Amino acid sequence: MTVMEEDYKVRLDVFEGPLDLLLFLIKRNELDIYDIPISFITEQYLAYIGMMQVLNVELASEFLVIAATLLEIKARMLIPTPSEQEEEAEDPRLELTNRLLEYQRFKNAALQLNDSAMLYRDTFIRGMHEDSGNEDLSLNIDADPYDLLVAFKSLMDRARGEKIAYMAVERISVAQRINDIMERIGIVKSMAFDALLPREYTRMDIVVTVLAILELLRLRMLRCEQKEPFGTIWLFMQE
Amino acid sequence: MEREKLIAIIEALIFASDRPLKVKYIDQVLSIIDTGDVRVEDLIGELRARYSTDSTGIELAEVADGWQLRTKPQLADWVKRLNIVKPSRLSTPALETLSIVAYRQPITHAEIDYVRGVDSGGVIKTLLDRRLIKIVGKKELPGRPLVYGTTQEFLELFGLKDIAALPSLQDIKQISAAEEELEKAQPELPLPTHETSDEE
Repeated sequence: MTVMEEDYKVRLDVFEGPLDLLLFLIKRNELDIYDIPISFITEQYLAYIGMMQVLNVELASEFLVIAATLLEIKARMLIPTPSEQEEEAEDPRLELTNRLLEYQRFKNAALQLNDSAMLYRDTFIRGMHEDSGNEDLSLNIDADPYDLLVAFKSLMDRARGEKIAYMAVERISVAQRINDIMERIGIVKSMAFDALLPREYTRMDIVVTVLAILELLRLRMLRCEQKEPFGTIWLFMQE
Repeated sequence: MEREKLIAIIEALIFASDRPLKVKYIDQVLSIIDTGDVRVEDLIGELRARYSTDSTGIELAEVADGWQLRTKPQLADWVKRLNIVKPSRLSTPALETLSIVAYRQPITHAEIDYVRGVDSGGVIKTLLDRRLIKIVGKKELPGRPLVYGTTQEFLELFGLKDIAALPSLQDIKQISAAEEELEKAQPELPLPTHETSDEE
């Protein structure tokens, strides 16, 4: 038993789930998947579950579901088969066997997939920038207003520069902001959304900036792109 | 126009395109000239053959229903030394889920869970975020569950022409049977190791 404990400890994180564990037990004990000795496999399976509990490892509930299934099959196999004249009853193991075969098939398919020439692992395409650690603009994805709102929210969360003091704040109008943005973007052609804000900004700055951008997008004077959800939003001059 | 020149044009078009270039777009570009009865597919075939020699580092691959220039897999280690690419990695659960979706699409979350025997919610989300799978509709079942399918990006990632280019599950069974035979022929490996468990 101690040897077995060692084995199981090593393998704890290896199983993807209860079916994976069953396949492992079948293979390891060189059992025939089409004729699983249900009593034996149940015992092995429960020993593993027990081990997990001893080790205080959190078990996915699915492991227990399959344990129950195994016990049910075992019970059904103990029930004497009806008299021979009647139609032969279905093997209680059939559904489980089919599931295991199906799962094994996909495990193999996954291996096969992993063996193919994977992009950015085995094969590469043109156009990777040396600073690909930063935003990679070669993979632009058009952002929609929702993305803009998400970016807006994250800026709002960061806008902590609001001190409680009542001062006459210089109000920038949306029209002013539009001119400001167009002037800046006219020079550099593209800008990150965050770069449009002053270093210290207030909620009002963000609101006005977002409104200005929405307006410019509506007028199709700007184009807005984002590589991935929650990524930097880039604004481009629309030619 | 002479054949050589047409091939050169096609090569330039494929090179300039940042996604796999479909034949219909090449046809469109070439439609302004008289190409006689030359088929673009034949020219591409010829171009592809030129890249197949060892003296070139790139190859012409048929991916996602288009054509793309890609570095040869046997040179991957060299390209990686440039340190400019983020390596692409997929975990075992992600690969499993992806192959289930690929072969059984359109498929629901519950059906994936049933095949894998575990909840696949987290994996599905990761695959959606990486745009390797997408929601393709709803199934006419109580609760109208969403169904998932693979994407263009999936085909590009694995260099597949289309979904039909996946090896049939039947073939995979044969391959794995053959591998098992090989395994048996070899001296028994000490158990357990990660490698053996991965090959089950």
